[in-house]
Amino acid sequence: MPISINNFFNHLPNISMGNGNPETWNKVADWISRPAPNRLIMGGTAYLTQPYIDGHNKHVKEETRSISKDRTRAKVIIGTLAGIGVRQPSYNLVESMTRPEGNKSYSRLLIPNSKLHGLKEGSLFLKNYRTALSTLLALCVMVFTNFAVDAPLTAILTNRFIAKTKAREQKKEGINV
Amino acid sequence: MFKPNFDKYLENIWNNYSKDPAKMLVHTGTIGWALSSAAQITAILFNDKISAKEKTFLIPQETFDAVVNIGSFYLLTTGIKNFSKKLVTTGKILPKSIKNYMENSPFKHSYGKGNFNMEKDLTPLTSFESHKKQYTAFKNIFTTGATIGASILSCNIVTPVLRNELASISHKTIVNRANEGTSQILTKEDINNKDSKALQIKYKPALYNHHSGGMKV
Repeated sequence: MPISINNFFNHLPNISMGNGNPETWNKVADWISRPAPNRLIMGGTAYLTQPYIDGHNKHVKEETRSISKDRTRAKVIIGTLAGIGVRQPSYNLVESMTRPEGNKSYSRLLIPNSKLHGLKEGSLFLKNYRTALSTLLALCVMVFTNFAVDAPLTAILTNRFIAKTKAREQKKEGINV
Repeated sequence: MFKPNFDKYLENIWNNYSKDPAKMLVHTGTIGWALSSAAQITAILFNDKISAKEKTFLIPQETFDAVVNIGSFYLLTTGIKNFSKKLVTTGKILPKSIKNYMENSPFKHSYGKGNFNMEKDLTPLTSFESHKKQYTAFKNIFTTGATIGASILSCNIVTPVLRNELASISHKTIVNRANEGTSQILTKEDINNKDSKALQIKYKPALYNHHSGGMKV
């Protein structure tokens, strides 16, 4: 029998999952794909895993490992905060300009002409479109903020973490002596 | 109402991403990392508090972070995203009520097979209409959840492990090259000739040069 994805699939058992509320599923999927919450999820998990991985990198010396860990911590914190700070306003801006039922002059400014008729506020496609458009807008803003905000703040926080780590180590050495 | 003439771009974004938000996460993520890494490398280069020696690890680490992130996101995240989508569209994983419906449908023996497509094959069945809302919502939450789970695995576990491995190799190569310089044996002629290459290698290895904390690394 030739090996193919379909053959592999046919050998897996059919699985059923609980009956949830479709409205809730859509709301959760909509929220976690929004740029700011998505960045928060990624940043939160990055803070839990990445410094730990860097701190256990046996290929480099203790000092390098420690600096690498401190820099990663700083990068994750600043990256997450700046990422959310850029993404949330971008989402709010796009949302205000993609309201099919809005009555302001700019309410439908960013909705493609061909989609205007019959488009409803709760449409899943509209939600996905807002997410995509706001992420693209955030990306344009981040061309500047990555260099003007993220990079210098990461450097400042990295240096603080390095100083704290050194002070902690010196204190430890003092106790040991 | 005034509307700038960028409708074709908006149309393009709508057509590409409104039906497939996970695709958007992949594309924007790729550009985002490249930008972020470029900025972070700049930050490391100009950070005076980090020695040149440490920079020989941190710069490759950040470079590989972007490269590995993009690669693993395309391979792993896209792979898991497509696989999770296939699990639902073939009917391999379904909510209980839809599974029960399928068990009593003419497709009892074919759903869950690799070539089955819930969206196409069930179109003629009008009775499926009442389950369609739940099916679409399930597909939405399942594939979005799987994509985010895969992103966490790819960006926050696979990437840091791989980038550290690769950066360590690069770091060792640079350190070894510098050490070769410091262990250079000098002849009498080398010592007397201040322009001697061997003398320069021994006492001015670029890595430990006092002023090399910036762009040279």
